[in-house]
Amino acid sequence: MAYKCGVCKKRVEFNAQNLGIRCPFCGSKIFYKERPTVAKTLKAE
Amino acid sequence: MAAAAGASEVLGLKIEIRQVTPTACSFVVDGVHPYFVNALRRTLIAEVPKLAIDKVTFYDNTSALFDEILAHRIGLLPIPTDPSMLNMKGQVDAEGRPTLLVRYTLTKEGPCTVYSGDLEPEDKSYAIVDAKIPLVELLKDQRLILEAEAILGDGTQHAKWQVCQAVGYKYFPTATMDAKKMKPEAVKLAVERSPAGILSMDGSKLVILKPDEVNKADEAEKQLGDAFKIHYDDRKFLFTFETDGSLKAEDALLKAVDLLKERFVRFQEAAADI
Repeated sequence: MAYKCGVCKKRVEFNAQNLGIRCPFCGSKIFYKERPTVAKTLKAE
Repeated sequence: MAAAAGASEVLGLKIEIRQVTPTACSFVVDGVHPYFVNALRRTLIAEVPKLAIDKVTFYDNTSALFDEILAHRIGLLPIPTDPSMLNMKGQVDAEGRPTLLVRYTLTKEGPCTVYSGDLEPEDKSYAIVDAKIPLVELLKDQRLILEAEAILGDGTQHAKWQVCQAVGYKYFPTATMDAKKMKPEAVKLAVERSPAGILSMDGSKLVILKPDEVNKADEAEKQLGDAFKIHYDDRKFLFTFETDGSLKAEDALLKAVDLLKERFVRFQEAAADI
């Protein structure tokens, strides 16, 4: 699963089984989930 | 701002138009029961159809707002609706798609504020009524790309399809005065303690400047006792409403009356079969 590092902004991949995730580039533990590139249709309500 | 005034009388029912602007209307109805005006009020609130955005497809949204919140905000935008197309509500083509469907696109990149006017319709006549309604603020490198589809609906389905707001009526107020019983000091106090512009003094006499709003001068009743009484006519009503701009007030009223009429005709036909 792809995440973006909250500190160095680099894209990192993690396995869901991993424990104690950490950025391999800067060592940060803050990550943002990347938005999927598919269109999303919603009802406006 | 256009204004019109006039009166007409049919079968004892008298209507006097007080004010008509593109988004507001007020009129006096005389000679009817409260349930008649209440039926009109309810029809205006919930049953006059209009266009509103129903589906939003997001291709990218890196703004601070969730897709769902943005879709909700976009759905509430007022879209100009042609009164001659209101009968197309609920009509679908052979593929099951609504007969009247208006598409919009939006592409913006920050830093900027995204406004309702940034939604580009496929036909310019469907541009959002008020172009300065803020949707979301985009910071640097944030993007919003979406497509939206508007269809006809009415207020019974969702508030976004509600054409009229602040729909209401009040019993028409009248005041009776007995000048002989009025003391000048009490008249002065009555004028001072009533909302500005409704009552006035001509010498020591009390003058009503706004008869439609005399019900607000209840303080005058307290000051003047039996010499000044406010009454309410339960067969005469002051009716007011506003629209969100998607339909003109005049068109909304005519459509509501048509809907009521249609319903009574259907009721009459059903009753004839009993």
